[in-house]
Amino acid sequence: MSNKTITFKILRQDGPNQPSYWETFVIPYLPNSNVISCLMDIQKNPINAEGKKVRPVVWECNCLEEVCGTCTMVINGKTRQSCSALIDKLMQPITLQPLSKFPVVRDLAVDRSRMFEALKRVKAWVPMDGYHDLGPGDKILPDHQGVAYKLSECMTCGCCVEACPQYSRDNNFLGAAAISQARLFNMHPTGKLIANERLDTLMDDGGIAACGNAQNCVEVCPKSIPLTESIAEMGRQSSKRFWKTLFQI
Amino acid sequence: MVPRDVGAREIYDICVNQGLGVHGDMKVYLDLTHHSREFLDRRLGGILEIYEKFTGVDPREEPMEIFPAVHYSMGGIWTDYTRTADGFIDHQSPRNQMTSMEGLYAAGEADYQYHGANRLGANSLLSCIYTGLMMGPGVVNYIKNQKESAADLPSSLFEQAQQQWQEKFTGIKQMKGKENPYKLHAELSETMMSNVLIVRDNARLAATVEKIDEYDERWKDVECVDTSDWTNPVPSFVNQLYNMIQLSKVIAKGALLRDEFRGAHYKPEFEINQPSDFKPESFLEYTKLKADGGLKQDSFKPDHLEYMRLYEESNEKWLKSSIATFNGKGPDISYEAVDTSLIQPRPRKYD
Ligand SMILES: Cc1cc2nc3c(=O)[nH]c(=O)nc-3n(C[C@H](O)[C@H](O)[C@H](O)COP(=O)(O)OP(=O)(O)OC[C@H]3O[C@@H](n4cnc5c(N)ncnc54)[C@H](O)[C@@H]3O)c2cc1C
Ligand code: SF4
Ligand code: SF4
Ligand code: FES
Repeated sequence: MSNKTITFKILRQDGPNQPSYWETFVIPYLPNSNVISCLMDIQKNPINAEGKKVRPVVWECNCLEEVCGTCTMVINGKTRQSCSALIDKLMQPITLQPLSKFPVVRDLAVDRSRMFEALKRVKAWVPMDGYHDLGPGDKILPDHQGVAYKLSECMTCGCCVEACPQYSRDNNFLGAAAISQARLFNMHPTGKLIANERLDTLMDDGGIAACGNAQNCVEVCPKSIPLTESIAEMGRQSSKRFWKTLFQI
Repeated sequence: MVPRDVGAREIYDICVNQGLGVHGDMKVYLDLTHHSREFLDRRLGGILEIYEKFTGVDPREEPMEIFPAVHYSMGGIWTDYTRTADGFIDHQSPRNQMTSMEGLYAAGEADYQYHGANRLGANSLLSCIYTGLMMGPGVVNYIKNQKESAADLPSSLFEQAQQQWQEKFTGIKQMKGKENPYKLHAELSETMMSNVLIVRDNARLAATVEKIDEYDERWKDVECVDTSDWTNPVPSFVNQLYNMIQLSKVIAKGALLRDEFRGAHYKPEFEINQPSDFKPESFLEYTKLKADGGLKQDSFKPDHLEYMRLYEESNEKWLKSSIATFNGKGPDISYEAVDTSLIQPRPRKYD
């Protein structure tokens, strides 16, 4: 690896339903760079490897510290955040591609709405009916809190669904992240109030049954969220609800 | 733990004044290795994982290298509130969190309330929640009091506004100058970071104000490096860059005109040294004695008395918010007294 320059091969696309094309950029090497700082360098001098002035690459980012999840892309074939992708640890040329499970908006920016829709489907929130003083909430035990804290670190980045063989652009699988969030809110003392509504969604089309237990999701999650554990736990809760409703009829 | 402005100044002193930064950089060590791994993972798991990922070093085994960074904007958009007869806030008033433009509200980090010259750690979310709660009923009541709604206004009003913005962005897209907007932005940020951040000095602030005026000129010579019409972030960035230049002027000019050291606004030139055995409550006693006419030369130790006199003098001059008004070219700065009706200000002390 040369220490003088960094070479990027970027899969670009001018808009949805437009053809994609590869473009190469060679930029000066700077110590401690990451993929985003390099994309920013390209913005400052948008000239490709052929010396042609081009439009700067479009991508999304926000926190620059791997907590918001917006900068997720496929880097050297692996789905991950570009802000925490350190240049010194990457083989060159570095390839950048947009996530494949979502529609491309432009270049490396994709539309992850489906993940947010999935959060709505599983009602990933604590129901509240006003901002009046509700008094102190229920106590949460430390070991319970430990599990919930880990689950709450999910940043809806999309790595898990990108790696999942069951999640495709033509089905309606909720994906591991949303299933895990259903678990988080079913654990919460107030969130629990609508636990059954969440389970009904999980038992419906595109829910838990769609998971083939390939376990790719847990391998790629940057926050090491125990996704297969969450899926198993939600499977248990769903079967329990299934048998309960069966006997009530 | 010390407040972050104090911590940042210590780091600055070690790295810049004493030249003792790690590897000669603006960095010091933060050592957590005296705690057990279990404790650290339980209490600081998320943040330590991020550090490890970004640096490749395990902070549970080796001291972390840290440096100060900007992570909050103190000050912001002017917003109002209404008092009740007993001096508290009327929580139903439509004026709460309303800006100087009628019907336009601001809350959270965007508003100027609560964190004037310093923000205490973890208090931002508190003020976000508070101002949001206070603003909500205000907005509802404001709408209730309106005789007409947006739908009743002539459509030409909206069309005009739309046209104005379209023209603005068409104009930006036609900018074909020599300056790359992202490079200009990096220069602006470098200037602000080196001159208006942790330590402020009048000569450097004056030079910075001039420098920002140059950026303002250079902005006119920007090239809009992408003129396409689909998901194109460049025109918005060029537009925002203009606003950032104007805001930088506000910050730099406000800092230049303020000849004092308050909170995170640190001007060593105007530092008043607090005697090490001074207790902040003495100041309350001091003002009381003064009001009752009972203050004597020997009421306090001479160095305490002198310190309190200087502190009081500084408050008389500067316990005020700087208000920036845009004059078409840049900001005019005026001052508004800080409301201290509920609690009397006193010197801060950390030990
Ligand atoms: C690294 C870091 C750590 C922090 N840690 C703490 C902490 O531990 N405790 C604490 O109390 N505070 C902390 N803070 C501060 C606190 O997080 C922020 O002050 C707070 O989140 C601000 O909330 P807000 O809703 O006012 O603004 P924001 O969360 O900034 O929301 C502003 C919103 O406006 C949107 N927006 C901007 N422009 C437009 C536009 N033109 N049109 C439409 N929408 C627009 C933005 O997309 C954004 O969603 C931290 C901040 C940082 C950066
Ligand atoms: S579960 Fe992990 S991989 Fe999936 S969206 Fe959340 S953080 Fe990303
Ligand atoms: S376990 Fe496999 S099939 Fe199920 S969500 Fe994870 S990656 Fe997809
Ligand atoms: S920018 Fe937020 S995760 Fe990378």
